[in-house]
Amino acid sequence: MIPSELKIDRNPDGALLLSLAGEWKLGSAIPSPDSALAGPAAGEKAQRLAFATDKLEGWDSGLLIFLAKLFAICRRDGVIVDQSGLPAGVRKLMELASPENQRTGITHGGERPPFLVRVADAAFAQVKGFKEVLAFIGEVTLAFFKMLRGKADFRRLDLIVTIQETGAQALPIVTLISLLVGMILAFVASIQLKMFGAQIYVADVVGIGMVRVMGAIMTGIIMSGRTGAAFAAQLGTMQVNEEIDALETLGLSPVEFLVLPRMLALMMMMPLLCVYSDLMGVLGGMIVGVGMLDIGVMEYVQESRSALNLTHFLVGLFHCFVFGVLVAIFGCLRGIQCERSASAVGYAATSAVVTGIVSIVVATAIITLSCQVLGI
Amino acid sequence: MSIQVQHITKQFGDFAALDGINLEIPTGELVALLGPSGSGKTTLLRIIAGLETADGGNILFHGSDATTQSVRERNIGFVFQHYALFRHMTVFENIAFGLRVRPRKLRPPKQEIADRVHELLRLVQLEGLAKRYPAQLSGGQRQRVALARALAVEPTVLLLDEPFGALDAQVRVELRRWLRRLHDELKITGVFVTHDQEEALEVADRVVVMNRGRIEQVGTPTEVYDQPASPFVYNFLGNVNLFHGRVHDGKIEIDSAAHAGVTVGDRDTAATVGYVRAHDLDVDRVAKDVSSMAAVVRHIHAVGSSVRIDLTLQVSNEPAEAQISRERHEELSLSVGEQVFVTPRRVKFFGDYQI
Repeated sequence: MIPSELKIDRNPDGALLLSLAGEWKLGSAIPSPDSALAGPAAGEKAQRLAFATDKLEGWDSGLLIFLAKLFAICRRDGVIVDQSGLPAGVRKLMELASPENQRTGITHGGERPPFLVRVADAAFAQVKGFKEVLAFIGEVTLAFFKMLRGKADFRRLDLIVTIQETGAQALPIVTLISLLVGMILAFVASIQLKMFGAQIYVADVVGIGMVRVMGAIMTGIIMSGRTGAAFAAQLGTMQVNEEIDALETLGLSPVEFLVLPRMLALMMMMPLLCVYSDLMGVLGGMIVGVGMLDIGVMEYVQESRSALNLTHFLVGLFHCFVFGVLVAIFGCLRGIQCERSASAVGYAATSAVVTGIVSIVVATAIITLSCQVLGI
Repeated sequence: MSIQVQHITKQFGDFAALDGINLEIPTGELVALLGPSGSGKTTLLRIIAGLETADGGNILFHGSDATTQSVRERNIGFVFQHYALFRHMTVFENIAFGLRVRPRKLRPPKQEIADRVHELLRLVQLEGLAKRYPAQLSGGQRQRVALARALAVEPTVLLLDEPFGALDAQVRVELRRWLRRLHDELKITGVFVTHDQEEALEVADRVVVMNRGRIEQVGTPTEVYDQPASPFVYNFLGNVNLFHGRVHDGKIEIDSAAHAGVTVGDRDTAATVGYVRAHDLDVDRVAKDVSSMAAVVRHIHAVGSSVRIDLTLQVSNEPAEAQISRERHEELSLSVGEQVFVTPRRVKFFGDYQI
């Protein structure tokens, strides 16, 4: 490798002549731009800069970086640069890299705004999001009352298809999850209860746990992931295709036409799924109880019957009804809020699931607390 | 029904999408909103439709204020760029949809709906495709279904958002001529958005040229093409040559050729730019008069109805483009590298702003 050399001369007309020789490549010892400008006679500032590159053997980005830094200093100090001595390829690349050729309005990564600005932005975004949720809930409520008066526009076929999608077609996954959750509850309970020889109370733990809250929560979470995401994706795709705008121009309210049938379907199907999930959970508990804890089938059933009452059952149903409304509202809201690009649909679906699950957990906490206070 | 747009403004964050737009659309006219992307034309259309709300200003439909009316109350037909057909419905159901979902009291009887749909299918030349699904149609057919769907509700205003933007060139030309004929037949007030100047000039009764949220010029296609009000309009409509010159002794000099009788301002040696359309530039072997400029032929494109010649002016080295007829081209039989003289037949001067 030929080392890079820099010779600095002063032309008769006062311009600084930089003669580059050798190889100017990345990794070779390239002199610093500051030293190049210092000049042979220090203290005397050059007004012009010229180049001679006859002895330049090879160059790559190393030379360009050197020149870019040099030119930046020259611009700052108002030194005129005569590039005619540079190879044509270098001139072209430097031309491309010059600040006049940078497109404005494009930020390269962008600077991070200060901490307080970010906090404020996030807070405002939260407030705005909350307002949108409230407005949407209001619209849905109005549409619901309109439906009760028999005046809402939606197609019965849409309702039936959604009932099928959210009801019967959700059974397999609800079966699997509820059965497993029932079994897990039984296992966890049995470890403690065995120590007292009180295995029989596994039936109470599983029964009350599933029927009162776990069945509802599990159904809610499954439906949020399955149906909430599907709603968001369906409405999001319609938003991307401008179909929602098209509905409005044809004189239809998207909330009545699209959201109402979906919400009604979930309001009807979620409690039914919850009953099914309760049953599967108890069955799961029984499998563990009978299979591993030597409890008789009739004994387990009897213990479960004595532990459960109508209140537990109704509290569970109420949970699930609320979850149904929440999943439908957030699924549809995220779909309608979807922006007009394909990637926005995926984002809408994800956001629907996250919001759905968070709202389910929060709602559970509120309901459980209320039940405690009211003594139900 | 006439539409009046009064001082409409719209901001997206820091960006002014519409900056005080005033516009009047008379009854029965087909108006084109023409401009480059980001000029605010689609936003204006969506505000007229009611799909977007303006930050300020009013929209009047036939003299009565419609600003606060919802889309549903405005009774408009809207055709979307990407058709926005309902995918799970057949062509027939798509067109009938707007009528079928009306409240029972306003809904026409079944037979009447069917009759009207078939009438519309005939109008858009898609008879026999009523049972197909949108996915089984070509782009041009889908767009015609979308148009039929918009017309089914008997709108008072028809709004089209880049109706031919997603179609290939040949179908586009065919469909825009068809739209013109359809409009002549129906006489419905129409507004369409386009970035294609050819489309706007061919189809519309009146062209609104927009740029950066403002209206640059409103006029008939001939007016905006022949008498552009600003350098932007000149540039945007048709091929144009820019000649940089200076005012000297009350005369404008471009490339050392004098253009007498034109004064721009009163300042001597002020920079100016002359705008000449490619077909307003004569090419000759000899200088015709004082305004002729010497140029060198760089390239000859002899494809199509006319011949395009790329030139370089000799004094200033500026590029120029001339369009001459095939007959003239055969008469001259130019070759690349030859020296010729170009003489502008019509020049319009504007001050030297950057565009």
